[in-house]
Amino acid sequence: MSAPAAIYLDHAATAPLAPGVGSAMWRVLDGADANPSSAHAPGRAAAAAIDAAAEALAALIGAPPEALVWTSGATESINLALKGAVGFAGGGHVVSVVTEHHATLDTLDVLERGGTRVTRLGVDGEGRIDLEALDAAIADEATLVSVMHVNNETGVIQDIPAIGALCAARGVPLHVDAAQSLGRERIDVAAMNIALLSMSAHKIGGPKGIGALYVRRRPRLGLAAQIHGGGQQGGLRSGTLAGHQIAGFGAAADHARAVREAEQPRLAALRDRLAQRLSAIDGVTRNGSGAHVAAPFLNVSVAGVHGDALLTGLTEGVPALAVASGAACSAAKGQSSYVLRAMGRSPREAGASVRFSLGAATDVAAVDAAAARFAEEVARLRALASAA
Amino acid sequence: MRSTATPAEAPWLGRFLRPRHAACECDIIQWKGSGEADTPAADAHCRLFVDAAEGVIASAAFAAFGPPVVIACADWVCEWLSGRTIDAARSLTVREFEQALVLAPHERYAGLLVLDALTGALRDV
Repeated sequence: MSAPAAIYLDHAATAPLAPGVGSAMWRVLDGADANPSSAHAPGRAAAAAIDAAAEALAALIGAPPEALVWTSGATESINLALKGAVGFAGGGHVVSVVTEHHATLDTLDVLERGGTRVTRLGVDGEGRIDLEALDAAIADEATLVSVMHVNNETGVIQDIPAIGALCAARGVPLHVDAAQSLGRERIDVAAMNIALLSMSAHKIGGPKGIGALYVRRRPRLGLAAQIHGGGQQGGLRSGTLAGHQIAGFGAAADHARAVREAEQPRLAALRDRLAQRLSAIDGVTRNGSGAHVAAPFLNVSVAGVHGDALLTGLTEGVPALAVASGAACSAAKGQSSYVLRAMGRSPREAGASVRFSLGAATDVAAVDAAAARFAEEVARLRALASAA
Repeated sequence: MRSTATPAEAPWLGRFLRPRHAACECDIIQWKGSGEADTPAADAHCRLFVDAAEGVIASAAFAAFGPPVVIACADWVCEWLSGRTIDAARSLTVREFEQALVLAPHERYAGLLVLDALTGALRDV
């Protein structure tokens, strides 16, 4: 990671490489980098490395390894899932949620312009969907449901087991965007009735540029390919497989599976410590309650400071905090976090929000230093405005 | 919209992080002139304070709520004003802000906001 002086609390954006990932990638590059589709021995060695990675990733989600399709990342997986399912069915009614990642929202916009019917469900003040509203939408001739497991801004967890049960009861396939939940939340595609699951490697300490889509085998789910060519991966996603990337994803999955049970409670405790310290600052409110928020996430809004000023002050001050805001643009232009606004926050509240996302290297000292720096910056900005 | 310039390279960053002319709420009544302005959607607010004697501005200070570039523009103009005549202050344009702080086109509004506040402040002195 660059910017070594920063306190890195942006693991939801990307996580540093997990132990064993770099060496796993290098082993493929240095000894098994033939085309895995080739029938000769070097090709078989490359294919074996990919098979091992598939076993590791499949074990993390309770799936058979042959149900995985390698992609370039979660965005491509989501595109393949949504466009593929709609394309195979020749249209239909897709039910999703207003707080989805833009990979889903923008894909749905494209499908809608092509004639697909799309329903976007709202969320409550805690960022969760109403299951009765979902059931009613599914009953209205839905052909696919798409819900993200853990929200990328707030960390809010949707009740995938309950959503999956509703979908299964009505025979409608469920696509889950697991970009932020893989390795953090328990995922069992069979038990949760998940038909399609989009995943990304770099969120769990794997390399960037590799992802996967789980596609249910039984009952069979039809998908129309979105990338055509050599017919690799059963024709679902053509293109020579990047063995070293896949091996890295597999190593990251292995690591995540090994440490998840201990690591997530540790991060939750650190997150709660951070939340407690920030809550002592006047005008700080938490977005998403602890019970339904994934362990590494804390999203807060701050009254009386400008969002851009706060984020710049935190990221460029000393010590620098590598944190994120859901708001890339000013609240006045109505472009503050659409996720927080959907949860009922005002544009200004949504604009002055900060996402902390903790990870393997986060410790008590980092959390305490971040909280102190945050309090200092809020006080500084409020003082600058106090005579205004 | 947030600046597209890398913040670490933006000329205004130092002024945002370490402004030298912030007004203290405790002594704002001592200033002879003050003026304030908002952006149309009230996303940013700036108030300028000036002291002048015999047509020359002795000192200036600011208070501001808004993006970093607004705070930087307010801090810069306070420094620029010190020792200038009121006539010179009245002739200040947004171009001087753009040149001094290397404002991108979408950051120009910050200079205009501060100029509006300055116009109000100069009416009092």
